[in-house]
Amino acid sequence: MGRYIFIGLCFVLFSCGEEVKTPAAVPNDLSTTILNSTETIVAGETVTLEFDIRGGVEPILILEKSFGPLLFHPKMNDSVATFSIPASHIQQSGVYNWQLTVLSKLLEVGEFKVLPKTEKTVGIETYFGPRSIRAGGDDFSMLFMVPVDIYDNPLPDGTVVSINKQMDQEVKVITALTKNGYVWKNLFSSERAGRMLVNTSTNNIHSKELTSMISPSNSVDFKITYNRVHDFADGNQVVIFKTDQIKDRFGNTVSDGTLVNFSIEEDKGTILKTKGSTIDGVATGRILHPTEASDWRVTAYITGEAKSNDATLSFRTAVGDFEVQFSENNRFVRVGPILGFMDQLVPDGLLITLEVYDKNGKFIEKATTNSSKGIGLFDMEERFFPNDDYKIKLTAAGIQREFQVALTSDELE
Amino acid sequence: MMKGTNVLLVVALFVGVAFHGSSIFFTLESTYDALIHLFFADHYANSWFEPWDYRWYTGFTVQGYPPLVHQLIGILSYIGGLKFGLFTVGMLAILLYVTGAYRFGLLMSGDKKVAGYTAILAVFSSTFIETLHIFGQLPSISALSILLHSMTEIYLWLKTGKRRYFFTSLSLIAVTVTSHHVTPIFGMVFFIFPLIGMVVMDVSRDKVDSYQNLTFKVFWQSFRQLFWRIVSFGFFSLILIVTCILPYWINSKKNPITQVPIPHGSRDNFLEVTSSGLVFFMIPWGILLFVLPYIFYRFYSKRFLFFGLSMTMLTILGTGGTTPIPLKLLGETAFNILTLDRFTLWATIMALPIFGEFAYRMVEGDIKQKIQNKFGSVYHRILGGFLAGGILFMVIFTMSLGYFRPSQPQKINMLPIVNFLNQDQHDRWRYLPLGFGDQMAWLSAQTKAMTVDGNYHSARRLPELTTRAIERLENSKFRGVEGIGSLQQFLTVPEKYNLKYIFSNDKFYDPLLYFCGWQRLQQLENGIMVWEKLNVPPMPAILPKDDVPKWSKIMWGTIPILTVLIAFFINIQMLWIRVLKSRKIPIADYFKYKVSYSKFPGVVIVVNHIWALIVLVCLGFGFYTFYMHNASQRSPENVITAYYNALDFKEFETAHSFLDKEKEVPIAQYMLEVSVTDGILSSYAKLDAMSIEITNETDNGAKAVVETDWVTPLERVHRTYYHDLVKRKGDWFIQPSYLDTDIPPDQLFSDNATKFYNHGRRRITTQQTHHEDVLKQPVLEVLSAKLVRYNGQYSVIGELQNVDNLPADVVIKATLYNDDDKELANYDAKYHMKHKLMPMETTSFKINFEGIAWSQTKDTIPPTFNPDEFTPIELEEQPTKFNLQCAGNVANTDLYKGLTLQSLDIEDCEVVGELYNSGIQEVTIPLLLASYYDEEKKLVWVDHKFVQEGVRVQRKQPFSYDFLNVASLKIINSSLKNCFVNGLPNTSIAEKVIPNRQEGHVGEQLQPVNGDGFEFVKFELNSYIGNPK
Repeated sequence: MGRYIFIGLCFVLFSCGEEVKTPAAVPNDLSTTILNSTETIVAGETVTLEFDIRGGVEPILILEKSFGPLLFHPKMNDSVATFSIPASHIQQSGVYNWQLTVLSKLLEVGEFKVLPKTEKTVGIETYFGPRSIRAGGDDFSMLFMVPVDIYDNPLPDGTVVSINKQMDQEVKVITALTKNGYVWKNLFSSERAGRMLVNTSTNNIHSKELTSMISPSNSVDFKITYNRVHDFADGNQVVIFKTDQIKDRFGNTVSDGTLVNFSIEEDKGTILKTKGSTIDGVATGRILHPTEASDWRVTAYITGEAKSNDATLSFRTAVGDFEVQFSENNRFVRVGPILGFMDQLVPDGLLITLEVYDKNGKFIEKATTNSSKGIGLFDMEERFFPNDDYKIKLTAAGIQREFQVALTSDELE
Repeated sequence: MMKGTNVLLVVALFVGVAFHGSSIFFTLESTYDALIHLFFADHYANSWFEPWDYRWYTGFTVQGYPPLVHQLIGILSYIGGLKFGLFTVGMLAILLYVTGAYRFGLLMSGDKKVAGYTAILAVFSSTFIETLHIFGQLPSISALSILLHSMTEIYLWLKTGKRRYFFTSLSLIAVTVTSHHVTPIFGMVFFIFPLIGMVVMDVSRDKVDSYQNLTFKVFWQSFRQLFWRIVSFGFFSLILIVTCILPYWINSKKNPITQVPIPHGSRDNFLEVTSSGLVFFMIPWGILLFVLPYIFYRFYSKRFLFFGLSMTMLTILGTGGTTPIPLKLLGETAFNILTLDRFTLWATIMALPIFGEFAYRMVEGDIKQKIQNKFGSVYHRILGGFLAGGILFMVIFTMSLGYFRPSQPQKINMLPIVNFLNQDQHDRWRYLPLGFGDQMAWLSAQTKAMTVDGNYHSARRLPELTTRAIERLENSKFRGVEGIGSLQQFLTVPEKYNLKYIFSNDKFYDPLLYFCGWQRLQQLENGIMVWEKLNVPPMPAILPKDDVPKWSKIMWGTIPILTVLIAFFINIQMLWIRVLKSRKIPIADYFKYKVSYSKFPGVVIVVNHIWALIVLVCLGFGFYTFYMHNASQRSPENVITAYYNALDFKEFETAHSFLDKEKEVPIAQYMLEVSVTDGILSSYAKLDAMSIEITNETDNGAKAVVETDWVTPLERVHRTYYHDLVKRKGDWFIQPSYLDTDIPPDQLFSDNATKFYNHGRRRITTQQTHHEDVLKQPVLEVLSAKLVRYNGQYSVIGELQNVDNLPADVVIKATLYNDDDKELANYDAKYHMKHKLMPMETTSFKINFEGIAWSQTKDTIPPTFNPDEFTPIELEEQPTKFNLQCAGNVANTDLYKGLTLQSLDIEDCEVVGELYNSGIQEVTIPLLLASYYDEEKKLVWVDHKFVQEGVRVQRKQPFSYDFLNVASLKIINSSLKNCFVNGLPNTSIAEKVIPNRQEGHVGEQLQPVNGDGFEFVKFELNSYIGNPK
């Protein structure tokens, strides 16, 4: 066992320690001369830097670029160190800084500039937005352009860019100069709703088509009309309210879908609501006829922007007085036949309510039914209404009838 | 002693594998737990050593559950996929269980015949069938089976002291620990302790001539003799329990289960909740119930005394909340965390050898003789037939339970959902399945996309989930207020969780989604509706996680499988010899303690007969009360209850049968009327509570006032119904209410509407959407906004208009600040607004600041539930300022504006009117928004009311609304300074888009009312359409 421990111990001891490095010394007689350097090139060219290095050492060149530094080793020919930087590393336009060093000692620094390759313009980066604006000349879409060369470098400042703008059936050409590599232009809407199409070109290179929708501006006051089958308050037919073609302040038809609120004020002070959204500027609202005679004043609103004239319409009562029949013991109540404005049986579904009060006028129960074939039936069964005197109130289509009845036993039973 | 292979064991294995092995393909996937284990397995298959899984609960650690079974499925999934792994492990569990039961039987009885009977009965044990085929608790079954295997080894170690058995027993304990954490811990108490007692008993028995001479003194001596073996075993198994799943213990310590307990049926009072009694008591015990006296008679013999005690404990603990004893024994915390059905499971498994012994003695032993002598052989045969029939009945009944009362929704084809999530970078947002049941785990296993939900509730992390007793958001409707309330929080503020997509398999949730501002995106091929919320940012690239040290990850990834390998190599030799009989092995020690089965005491037979009679009478009484409960027309109350239950379950034919036959409404007519009524109550509600008051009862008539409480996804609805009842020929009937005979004016009519279509991406690309295809956000304008205090609660109210020319989907978020600009709370607008606005449409809105429910007062969770229950946020300081962020996005759905307000009648504090549907879509749930204005026509309050019936096309629907008293309302701040629209200040928009705004328009459309604290109101309508056409 001791043997193993010894071996293990040795292993552990020997495995510790530091590798000894001897730093290479910088020779004292080191001197450098720049033989050949480049100041400016066009993207796509190579750069060759030559130095005369005395001292028998091999320098390295550090090239700073936006993606990070690059290291280059020279081709040595006696004391002449030649660095050739391939074009692929310096396609991006801008200033490149280089440093020549030997063993961390800085020998020379310098820079060269890469210019965009103007003659090989291949495209224009464009952005156009917002995609929709309002008519009227206050609102605009911004066109932003960056013409680029084959290496995606923005072209030098002062490059002329021409903008074609198609609006209102005509094409306008605007020119602009790039600055800091780009150019932008605010393109304003006109008073007409529609579509603005633009494209740009420079050095015979053309961008794609871009578009911005010009939507109508704020609407202006409008008119409404109504349409109904008859003027009876039968609670069954539909009144249709319609606006005329709603326009904006420049005469454009408002966008489809614009919501119009129809506010209906009844003579009793309540406000009914219907709404419609426009198609080709026309909005339609529907509502049922009232069930009792009333006068309506209708106003339509595009809230905050526009409103209509007041349309007034009145409804006559559709139902005359109605008959009420009681059975012998007064327990079955037959309301009707209820007749309409031309003595027809009222359409099914007219609401009839029966309120039962005891002889002291205390409310007991309320029952409702809908008319069927003009008739409504109520059954006041003995198990719920013991024999006594009652007051009953019948209401239909706004007409109220009151009766004093004595409920008695069903003789048949 | 039998030489050669035990035929009974072979039969048991053969039948067991054939029966269970083939039926798991039809049952396992629809069990409660199996798919959860599958999800965990998928996690290990994809990232073995990384315990963090982002896919559930905004990230959770799988170190919260012992990994062995999951890892095994994971490994096997490399061969044939996850389900292959699942079924293979299932088969393994079956094999282990049957052999485990055999060895346990052998150990207990020392008789191979009895052990063989035990194995066969184990195959048909209803508790095993339930655990495997209904609950799908694979880890629990595996762990228990291995525990049974280990018992023989432990016995032999304690008895003989041979070191080999020490290692075999520990190796099996280690496997048990890594497959399930609860089993070894409680197994120690309930299985190993009695086993130790039995060993000591056996050793003592060796010292004396008979059990009569076995005194406590002898027992004590033997105990001292074995003391060090027991201690060494106990000590090392404790070490194994701790170290094998050390990361699990550390995780439990770090993230203690602080959540509100989730109700579990096994804690119910089984007499009150009979369904729980059936599932957690009747089924597991099954036929064993009839032979309980025999079981206890045998367990309380001297050798099994400790098993008897353990058995008694388990039986009592398994009764859940039926008696107060389990709660007292376990304490509040343990009682609420543990599911008590496992005690019953252990009890029934423990009883198997005794049952096997009983079967043996009944079929070919002394009981048979005794009965034959006493009652004749015919009776013996009848009794045997009864028992065999009972076993078969329980097997078939248990197996069919999942068929007749499925615990899961129909099997969902996940492929379309998986494809949807993979498309178009949809998995950069979280999703939420609704109504998937436990199948959500299977969906999660198939996709990388993440959900806020999850299916392992101990791992829940968000306080929104842990403070409420819900298992999953997915089935929140079954958890009442807590469920729906939690879900509402997620749906209202989805951007907090980057939740953008919802897969809805249950239309119950649809209204809630709609009114929280979600929109339908598309219906997938499998019928699942995808809902989408606009303006939700995608998830950040880097998500937070709770990292654990590397050693913990390595332990977790290696130890479980190592325990299996080690156990395999240690035990394989013995197994090999036993199976192939290649070498003669000495007879194990426990064979010595075989009792001779002769002279069965007659008194036990009598007692057992009496007991069986009692059980039968109890069962009969149960059936009788069940029948009486269903005798629906015996009293007015019964008929009303039955009628509403029938309506609740949409059994319209049954409901119709309770209507008065003399006022005959034909069933066809009735069905027609019921089927055409739509609305929140008829389509989206569940009857929660009902109270019936019978008035004016006479001999043949009565009036009933029925107070009903309905749970809907939106709010709790209270409704009072009045019914007239008649008694005819002894049965009570309900008189049908009057029918609405209203007919719409037009048979056919036309409607024009503007429709919108958004291409999404016009350019087909895998990249982000091209900037040209990104629509401009519609411009909104905040017309007014106020911070108000009403009834002690802060709200931000206001009005907003879509001033763009495009329809907009609107999201509003408000943040409250105090005087020192300290943020106090933020929340989104829920359903107090119209989320979809046409151009130039206005909406009022209200934002309530909701806290996380009951996070402060845990003990005051209300007993009944209300989804609308609102927990106001606890603000530390007085809010004085607010910030409003509104965002518009182009909307092209849910733009129906056909609802109109018609024939209003305004009383002092109430408005009665009708809604009329003038368009061509059927409105399922109308929402009425009421805005209150003061005498200067300035907004002071916003309120809402869901109208409970839908409005069909060209029809009227009456409604009524009670005005609130807002005199006590206080306006704190009404500055529009901090209102922003699409990130831009509201003021600049107001000046630019509608420079000449007609301020008076809003005021002119208001309804004058003489109210408390207000002079005008405005009504707005929002309509949910259940089935857009």
